Amino acid sequence: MSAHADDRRAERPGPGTAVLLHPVSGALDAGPRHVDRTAPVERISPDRGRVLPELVDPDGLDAVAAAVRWEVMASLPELLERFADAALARGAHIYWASTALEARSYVVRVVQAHDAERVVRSRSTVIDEIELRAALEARGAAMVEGWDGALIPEVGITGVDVAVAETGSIVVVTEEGNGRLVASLSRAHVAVLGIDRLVGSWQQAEVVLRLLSRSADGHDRSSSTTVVTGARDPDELDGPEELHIVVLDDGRSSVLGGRPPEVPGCIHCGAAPDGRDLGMGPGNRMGLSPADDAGSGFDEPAAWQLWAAAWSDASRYEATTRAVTWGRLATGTAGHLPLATSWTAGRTVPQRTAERFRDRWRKGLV
Amino acid sequence: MSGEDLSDKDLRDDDPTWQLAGAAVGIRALGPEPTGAGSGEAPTWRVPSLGERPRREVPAPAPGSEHGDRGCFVTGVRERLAGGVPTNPPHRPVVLAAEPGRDDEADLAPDDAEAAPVDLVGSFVRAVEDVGGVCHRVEGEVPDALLDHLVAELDAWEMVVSAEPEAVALGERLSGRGVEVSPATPEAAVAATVGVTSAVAGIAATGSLVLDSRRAGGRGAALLPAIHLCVLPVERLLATPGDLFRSLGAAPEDLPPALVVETGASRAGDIEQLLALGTSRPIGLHLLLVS
Repeated sequence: MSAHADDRRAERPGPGTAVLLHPVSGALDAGPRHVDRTAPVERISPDRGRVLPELVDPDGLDAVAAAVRWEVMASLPELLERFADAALARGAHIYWASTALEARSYVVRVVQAHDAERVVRSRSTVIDEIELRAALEARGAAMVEGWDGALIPEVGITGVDVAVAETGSIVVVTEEGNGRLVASLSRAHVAVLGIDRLVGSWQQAEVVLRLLSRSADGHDRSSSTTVVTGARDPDELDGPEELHIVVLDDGRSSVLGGRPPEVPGCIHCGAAPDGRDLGMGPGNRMGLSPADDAGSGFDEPAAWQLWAAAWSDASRYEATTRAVTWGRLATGTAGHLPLATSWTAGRTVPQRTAERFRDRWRKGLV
Repeated sequence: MSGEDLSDKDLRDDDPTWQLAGAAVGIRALGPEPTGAGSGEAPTWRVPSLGERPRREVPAPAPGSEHGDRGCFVTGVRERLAGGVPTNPPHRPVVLAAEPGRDDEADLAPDDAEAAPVDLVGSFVRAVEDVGGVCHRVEGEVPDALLDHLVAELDAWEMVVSAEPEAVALGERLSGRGVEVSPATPEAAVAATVGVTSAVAGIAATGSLVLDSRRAGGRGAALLPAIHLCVLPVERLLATPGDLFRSLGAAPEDLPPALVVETGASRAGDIEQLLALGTSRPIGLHLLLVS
């Protein structure tokens, strides 16, 4: 695995390479990174390679998008309140969840209030993050992904791709349409909003949305972008009667205010899973992962889980990746991280000695 | 149907805000034709804001409820961000406010050249066909022959119709042809072959339709039947998705509960990384582009 991964990581620009526009790359002086295409990405990369050059100035737009994110982070507390006030005025229910546990508990209460036996979810990493499935199953409710033909789900759960403070709107971008179905057909729509998805204005939202689908899979536009503003009108024939927006911190503000500092630049385009050449884990939400930080050779599910857990504690993330990089803890036989035992149970973490991604990043090498 | 609530003023197609303007009065002044335009300036489209689009009044919703501790949540975020978000010298973000000419109401980033077509109608038709839709261009009234052809080709004898006046009018004509037409309740929509709607805007660069749940009286007509038949007056074309999104902040009360930007027939681009048509409904899109 490790040798293969090392091979994949080798930078070999030239024929057969695609330029991966990454949301946090090339903001100012760094050029686009040349990524060796490998099997998981070779069918999609030509599309991405075709579409991205159509942007007049992909790096320029990239820089603007990054700047938008930084602007938003500078006024995040005010925008959170503005968003909540606007959404409440449109009849949405707001829940402030500082932790995944709080978010999970609230969603379970909503499901129980509707006496729902099935909960339909769209594909979204934030739903995995709050570990909802197990909590629902423990209470006898099944969670199914996507639309399974049921005409009206009692409760549908989606993530939020962009939330806009000035109108209290949430945007669900979906390629295959599941998010639109869930948001349209459920009686109660529960939307889990990570606070890093918030922007202030539609001018800002437009920049993020423009990059989002093109970066993700190379298609010009996702097949469906749903802007949800409040619950349905009384005379509409369908649509959610209740809109619950779970505003989730779960360590995000700690990460934003500490390290890694480039995290706010991520627009969550979803391209990261295709960036395995960079050593990223599948489903990774960021272009910066434990696998990157520790060097290649991390097995990908472990990397992903480590990264997911790192949200809850930035200092733990820092400590574990540094420790792995030094090779003091992880060996081929032990393979367990003392601060991350639950993620590495049953897994081995190979010893790595490569310089961490973030260290190279700080030096301007990547 | 609740479509009668719409005031005449809101729906007149001869409303000057919808007209093709001969002078550069548009929000976006588009350049001359790229090729073969001959002499003179190309016409400029007036881009209507959301507030200028057809709308109808609805009572303000009952406010939602708030749970959890907002003060604690926001204070915590403020404290953790008190030192600012750290920056790295090699990757210091640009400061938008310092850019010359920055105007908060203007584009933060100019649109892509290719994505801001000059020939809105031609670009829109091509884009719709690229994403698997069928575009029928119509001058004035939709001809009887076209309706007969559509009913026969689609073999569609059960249709649901959303509440937009354009869709209702088309539904009445289809009803006269023996098609069973009903309002788009979820139960009727899932059983129907065709859902008839109208869009509040079309997007030339991507071939997208913009569907307004408040105006349509729901979401199901465009979502549940296998085939989506949509009437779009040509005056409602916008150049790019950005033209739509940037306009949404102007009149928050006009934002419907659901505003959907739908591009082509349903597809699943992230299944096996191939663009597949028809993996989720609807599987077909027929568009009547009315000038």
